Amino acid sequence: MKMNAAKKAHYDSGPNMTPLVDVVMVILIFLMLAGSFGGAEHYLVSNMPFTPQGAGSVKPPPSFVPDFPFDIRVDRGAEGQMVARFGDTQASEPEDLLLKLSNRRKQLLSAGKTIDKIQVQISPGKRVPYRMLIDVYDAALRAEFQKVAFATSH
Amino acid sequence: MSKHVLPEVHNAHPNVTPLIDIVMCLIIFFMLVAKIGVSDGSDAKIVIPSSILGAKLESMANTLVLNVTAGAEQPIVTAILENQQQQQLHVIDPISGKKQLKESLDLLRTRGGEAFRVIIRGDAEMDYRYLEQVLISCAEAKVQNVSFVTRTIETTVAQH
Repeated sequence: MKMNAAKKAHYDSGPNMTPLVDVVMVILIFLMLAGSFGGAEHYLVSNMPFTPQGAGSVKPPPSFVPDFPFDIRVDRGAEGQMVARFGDTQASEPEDLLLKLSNRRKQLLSAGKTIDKIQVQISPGKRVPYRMLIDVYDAALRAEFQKVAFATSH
Repeated sequence: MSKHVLPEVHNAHPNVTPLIDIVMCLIIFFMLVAKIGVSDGSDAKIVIPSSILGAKLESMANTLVLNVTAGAEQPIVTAILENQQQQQLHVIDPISGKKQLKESLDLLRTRGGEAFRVIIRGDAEMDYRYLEQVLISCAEAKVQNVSFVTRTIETTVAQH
């Protein structure tokens, strides 16, 4: 009596994935608790220039050459809009301000100034909202000015 | 009678249980050592303004985050100091008359040196007259590095 040999049962299901899933779930939970999914944030870096007088006055080094001051006055218009002025130029929209600041930068550079010796000072009115100042600050940085700072209000 | 042959046992897969144990240990180690999720004093309730450009700070060491919102006459400034608790810093203390914010900044700047940085997290709708008082305090404390936190705006920047 012949009995057939049991056929080889070959169930090759690959490596066991359950531990991998467990590890991935633990990592996901860790990142959900530790991470932050709020809006990405970044920083506008300001510099505090040397001032011979005022609150932050420090004695400048002997060979110090002061930067060329470029003042931007920021006020609130009658309808609550931003009004930024420098020289005889005025802008109410951030993109318009960016264009005019870029043109002004080119004029200053063609007049022999170097970009690292131009100090942009934003002089806001007391009632100007902080977000408008950030718009002006952002426009100055986008216009490729390197040194931007706030001055005391007028 | 022919011999009954048992099927081949495929047991070539490695035992991954120790691997899981090591990974769990590593995760717990990095949770304790890394500063992920450690509060830097930022008040998430403040609606900060947004900007297109901005820089990422490489390190938050030697920094102080000031949360600034509009108050009555003075701004409301809060920060986490040495006691690891959020506390209010008055520009001018209404009781003692001391310049509390300036003194705290002075102390931290003395310890941290020229690299000490102040990060201002201000309410977008706050008037400049409140922020100005904070900036004056920073200037009086001779803090050279001041940064402003803004939200990122993702847009295509036109080349000028």
